[in-house]
Order: sequence, then structure tokens, then C-alpha cells
Amino acid sequence: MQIKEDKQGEVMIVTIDDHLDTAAAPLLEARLLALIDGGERKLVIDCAPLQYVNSAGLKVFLLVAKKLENSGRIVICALAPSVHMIFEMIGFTRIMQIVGTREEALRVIADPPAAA
Amino acid sequence: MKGGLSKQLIVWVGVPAALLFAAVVGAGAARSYQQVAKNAERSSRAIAQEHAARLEALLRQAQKIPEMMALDLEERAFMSDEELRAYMRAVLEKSRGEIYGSCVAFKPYGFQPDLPAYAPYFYTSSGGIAFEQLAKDEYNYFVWDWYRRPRDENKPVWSEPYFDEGGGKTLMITYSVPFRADGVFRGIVTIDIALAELLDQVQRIAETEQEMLGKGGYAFIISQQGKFLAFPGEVAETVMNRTLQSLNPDLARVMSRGGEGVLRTSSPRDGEKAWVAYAPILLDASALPGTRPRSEMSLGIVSVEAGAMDPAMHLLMAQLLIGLGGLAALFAAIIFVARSISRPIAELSSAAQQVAGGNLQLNIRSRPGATEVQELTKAFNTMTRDLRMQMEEVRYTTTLRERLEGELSAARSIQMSLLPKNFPAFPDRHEFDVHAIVRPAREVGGDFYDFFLIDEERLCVVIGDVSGKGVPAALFMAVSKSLIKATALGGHSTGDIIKRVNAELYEEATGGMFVTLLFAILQISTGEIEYCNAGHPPPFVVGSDGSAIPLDGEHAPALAIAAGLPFPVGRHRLAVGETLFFFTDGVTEALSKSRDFYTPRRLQGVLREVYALPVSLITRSVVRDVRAFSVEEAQTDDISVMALRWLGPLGAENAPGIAAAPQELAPSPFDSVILSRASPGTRS
Repeated sequence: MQIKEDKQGEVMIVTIDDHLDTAAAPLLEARLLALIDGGERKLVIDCAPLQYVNSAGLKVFLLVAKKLENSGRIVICALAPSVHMIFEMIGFTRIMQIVGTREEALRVIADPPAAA
Repeated sequence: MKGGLSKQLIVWVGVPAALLFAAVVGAGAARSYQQVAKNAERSSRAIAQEHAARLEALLRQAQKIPEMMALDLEERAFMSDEELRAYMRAVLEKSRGEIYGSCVAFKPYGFQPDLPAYAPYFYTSSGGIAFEQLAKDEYNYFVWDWYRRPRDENKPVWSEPYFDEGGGKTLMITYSVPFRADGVFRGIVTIDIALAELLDQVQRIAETEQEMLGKGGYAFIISQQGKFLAFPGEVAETVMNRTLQSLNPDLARVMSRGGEGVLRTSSPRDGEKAWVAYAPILLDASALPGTRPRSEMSLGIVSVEAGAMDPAMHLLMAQLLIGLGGLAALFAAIIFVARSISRPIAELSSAAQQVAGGNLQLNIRSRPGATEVQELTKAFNTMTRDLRMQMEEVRYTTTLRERLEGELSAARSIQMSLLPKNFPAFPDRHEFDVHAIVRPAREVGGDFYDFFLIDEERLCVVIGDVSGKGVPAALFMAVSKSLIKATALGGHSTGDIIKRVNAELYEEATGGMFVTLLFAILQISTGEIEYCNAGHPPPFVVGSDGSAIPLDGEHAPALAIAAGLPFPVGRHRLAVGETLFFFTDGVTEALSKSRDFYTPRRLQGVLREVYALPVSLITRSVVRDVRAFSVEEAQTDDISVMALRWLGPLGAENAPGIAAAPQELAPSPFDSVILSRASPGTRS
């Protein structure tokens, strides 16, 4: 599981690996929770490499989204079509900000929440 | 080097110390022996010289008496008998104690022409001074040495010791001085020295010099011929009859030569080892001045070795005793120290064996003793404690793992106990048939299914998947399932039911947990289905013609992800004999060895093969195919399938070509046929 972090201003961009399954999910969960505990409030999760995600992986997105619901923002970007389909099926597209590219994500996250 | 510590210490410390001690004592003994020998030689020699000189002076003093008398007799040639006797008595009285007796022996007719022999003799007796006329019939003094030798040699002479029968009646030596009248020999003047007096002298020497000579030391005097003049501890008669020559020839030779020296030899008295120092007593009066006087006697000083060594031996014994005491103390100390080290070590060693045997409760009491041993004991106790702690940790970890496994199996039990597993589930309903299987993963996921009659007219079926694993997922699954059933039985519409359940679950959900499910209500008499797909894989509608089409109508979000979302409801009307096949993503996402997914497409293929079988065999066939496809160990997700077939309001009799009851067909051989046909052909 490769997780890359890239801080741009007050935004933390986390790029995740291609597989987010039962084995990888706890690692990502721990990493993201550590970032939030460390004070990060604006997260962009770049899912460009992500090819497969199961329910354990989806749970991590939901957990982080709920954590930042009132105190911060999370934007997910660059979902592969198959992954986007799953996000859509689960209903995550309705409750999370999901955009096409990282640039778009950075722009969106800079905007006030009301604009989302 | 084998053996215990005390043996080693004794060998490497005790024995060398003992050897060193022996060497020191030995060297000391040898040295003190040499010292004693040197001292004995030196002192006995000095003593011999000193006392020889003293005796010499004494005897010369005595010699002067007859020499003076001889001069007087030569000057006063016409003394009367009375005059002579008075003169002699006076002389003897003057020198009493120095000499024993004195005699003036005239040659035949030498005193008066009418007297053939005349020899008045005065000597010391118990009553004072006694007189004897030696000229008598039974005693012819002319033949005695004391008379003949000075007359013949015409000079003063010391006699050899003899028993004087004529007058003194004692053992004595005699000094005889010839006197003349008008140059012609006239007679002999003598003095006698009793041997008792000499013996007294040598005994006095032994007494005064005892410290120097040591125990058993003594002095003796021999004559020129080697006869004993004084020899302590011997009867006088036997002394006279014995010569030094017969007792100790070596000593006799050097002493009779008149020399001075010391000889390491045997004691003449008892043959013991001794040093004998000897010195001449020089008495020859006729010796010319400047020439060496002839030795008439020789003084021997005997220092017996055993006696002389006595003080040294005492010292040696004291050293030996102190040394042996020290050695004993050393050995005792060695043994004590060795014990104080080896006993705790032995205890440690036996304790170590006990620890090796598994007794970790052992704690060794530290004894006073060597610091190293105490350190070792401490280290041992620390080691045991660490081991004990480690063991407890291992035990704790094991317990934890067992508990975790217990949790897993608890989760599995929760899951399995909640799911209806009695089939046929509704034996008295002929309008439909339902069958479901859950194959839980090792780490249980949150799959569940349920089916129940809301009332006589409506059957509710639901299949769901709680995200996550283990007990939390299992519990959330239990909550979800109960909530769904309770809400469904409350008589609400499908959309309402899901909305209510979602609201409740959203409140309950923690850690990002959510539920996907497919909820459906079958109108039993009509085959109408009202369903809500909450983020779940769409089920297949398997027709009695062998078609398998996903029921891909309305989509709703998964439950518990957000509150207040709309949950659209979809509808479908089942034809008689049509089957709804529900599944969770554990089926389509099962992984093969080559990391390929099972895929909905492959599921579809299997369904097309087994469509005509009873529902219980359809579910089993699918599960078997998934198992055959995937690596069993790698099953990370629950696999759940459920099949619901509507047989029409009148039951199976009105559904030609469709199997109604599972018991009509033998499952096993049939399954294998299905599988062999399904495996390769449906892969594409």
C-alpha cells in the first residue's frame, strides 16, 4: 500500500494506491486519521491510481467524510470509471464532493463550503 | 582441571603455599644448622684455647713450687731431716688447694751417707696435712717413672697418671724436678696433682661454658700419651685404663700432636655427633725461650651436636608449629571461601535446572559472600523475572489471540444464528420457494439475508452486506437485520421502511460503517415485486427459459451513509417459474489464483446453466462454482446467495418445466454435472 502525501498550502493531498481492499483499508484509515489528528482539515484524496475498492475501502472514505463533516472538507478526485460506478452505486456521489481532476479538487476545496 | 572450587583452590593456592612454607622452613633450618655449626666450632675452639691457657697457668703455678724447692735444696744442701720436713710442710701449707702432695726423693744415700733411701712425702688428707716416708721396704720409689724419667732425662717431667701406692693412695699426676749437689744428681722434688682436682676443673669448665657448649657439652684432658687425665662422668679407674686412641683414633692423633683446632667427629663419651675443639696445655719448663714448649697435656672441649642444636631446634619447632597453624588457617579459609562461592553457585545451577524445567516462580535468596556471586544471584533473579514476565506476556498474547479468535467465532455465531437456515423455509406455501446460503469468511464480514411473511399476502426478502469485518460488523448486521424485520412488520411501504431503517442506522453507525442491501416485498398472489436497491449489486432475474438478466432499475444509496436521502423503489412482475437470484459482492469479487475476479458475467453463465434446478440447488451450484474458481484460503469476504422463485398462485403444478421441490432430485451427482458443464464454458 503506497500512500503519498503532498501538502499544498493548507491542503493535504493524499494519493492512494491502486488496490484498496480488506488488507489495505486499515492502513489508509490509520494514515488519514493520523493526518486529521495532526490538524489537517482540508483533504484532497487523489484516487487516480485506484483500480479496485471493496466495502472495507469504501468504509474509510465514509469514515473520513463523517469526521470532517463539520470541521473541515474532503474532496475526492480522479476516480477511475469502474470506481466511480461503485461510488455512485453506494451513493457516495451524493454525499461527497467528487471531481474529475486534482486541479479541480484544489479549486473546489479553496471555495467556501456553501459553494459545493 | 576437574574438581570442585575448593579442590582447585587447594591445588593452586594451598599446595604452593605449603611448598613455599616448607622451602622457607627448610632453608631456615639449613641456615640455622650452618650457623649453629659455625658458632659451635668457633665458640668451642675459643673455649678450648681459653681454658687450656687457664689450666696452663694453673699448672705452671704448680710447676714453680718444685722448681723453687729444687733451687732451695741445691743451695741449702745440709738440711737436717727435721729442717727438711718443716720446710716441706710449710711449702705445702702455703700452696694447699693447688697441689695434692709434695715429695723430696733423694738418690740412694743421697740425703745422708748412712741412709740408702730417703723420701719424705707430705700430702693433703681429710685431717689436714699428712706425712709419709716413702722410703720403705714394700715401696721402692727408685723404680717409679716419676723418679726415673727426670733423673735419666735430667730435666723436669710430668708423669702419666698413676695410682700412687706409696703415699697419696689416689690417682694423680706428678711433676718431678731433679736437683743436684755440686752439679751431680742428688734427688727429685715432686708435686702431685690429684686427678680429682683436674676432673673438678673440667667439670667447672662444662658448668661455666654450658651456655656456649649446649646441652651435653663437656671438657676433658688427655695426657701426652693419650691417657685421660680428666673425663667427666667416668669412674677414675676406668678412665685411666682407657685411652682416647681406643675411643676415637682421629681425635687422639690430632690432639696428641699438641696442636690446636676443632674436629667434627663423634663424642668420645657416647659416640654422638659432636664438635671437639682441642688446645694444648704447654708445660715443658725446659723449653728455651723462643722455642715452642712441648705439650704435656691437651684439653678437649666437646659440643654435642644434638645439644648445640637444641635452641635452634626449639626455634625451628616454633616456626614449624606457627607455619602449620598458618597453613591450617589458610586451608580453612580456602575451604570457607570456596564453599561460600560454590554453594550459591551450586544452588544457582540447580535453580537454573528448575527454571529450565519450567519453574519460573523461583527466587534465590542472596547470601552474604563474594560480590560476584551476589551479582550472579541478582542477575539470575532478574533473568527469571524477565522470563516470567515474558511468559506472562506470551500467555497474555495467547489469551488475547484466543479471545480474538473467540470474537471471530462469536461474530460468526451471531451471524449464523440470526439467519434462517431451516429449509424448506415455508413447507406449506406452494406459491414460492426460497433458499439462501452464507459462507462466512474466516474474519467474518457483515453479510446477511432474511425472509419472512409480513402477512399471508406478502413475503419480505432481504440480502445485505455491512461494510467492515469482525464483531462490529456482525453486531451492526444484527442491528440492521432486526431493524429491517421490525420495521417491515410495522406495515409500512417499501420506501418508508428503508427510509426509517436508514435513519435509525445512520444514528447507530460508527467508524464509517454502512450497509448495502436489496430489500424486496413479493405480492404472493400476483408475483409482483417491490424492491429497493440500496447500493447493492443488482439481482438476476432468471427466467424459466434460461435467461438471466440483472434487475437494474432504480438505484438508491447504501444505508447509514447519510440521513434524509431519497430511497427510490423499483417494481418488477415475476412470471410463473421465474427466479430472483440475490448475491453479495463476495460472489462476484471472489479472486482466482491468478487474481481474476469471479465477475457477474460468470455468475450469469452459471445461472443460465442451472436455471431449471430447484432453488436450493441453484444456490449450492453457485457457491460450489465460486469455491472451485477461487483460492479457498483467500476468501476474505462472506459469500452469500439467495434464490426466490415464484411458482404462481397455484403452486408448482402450474409451472411446467420448473422443478418445484428440492427433494425430487438427488443433489450430488446433479451438481457435479452442472459444475463440469459450467466451469470452462462460462468463463468467456
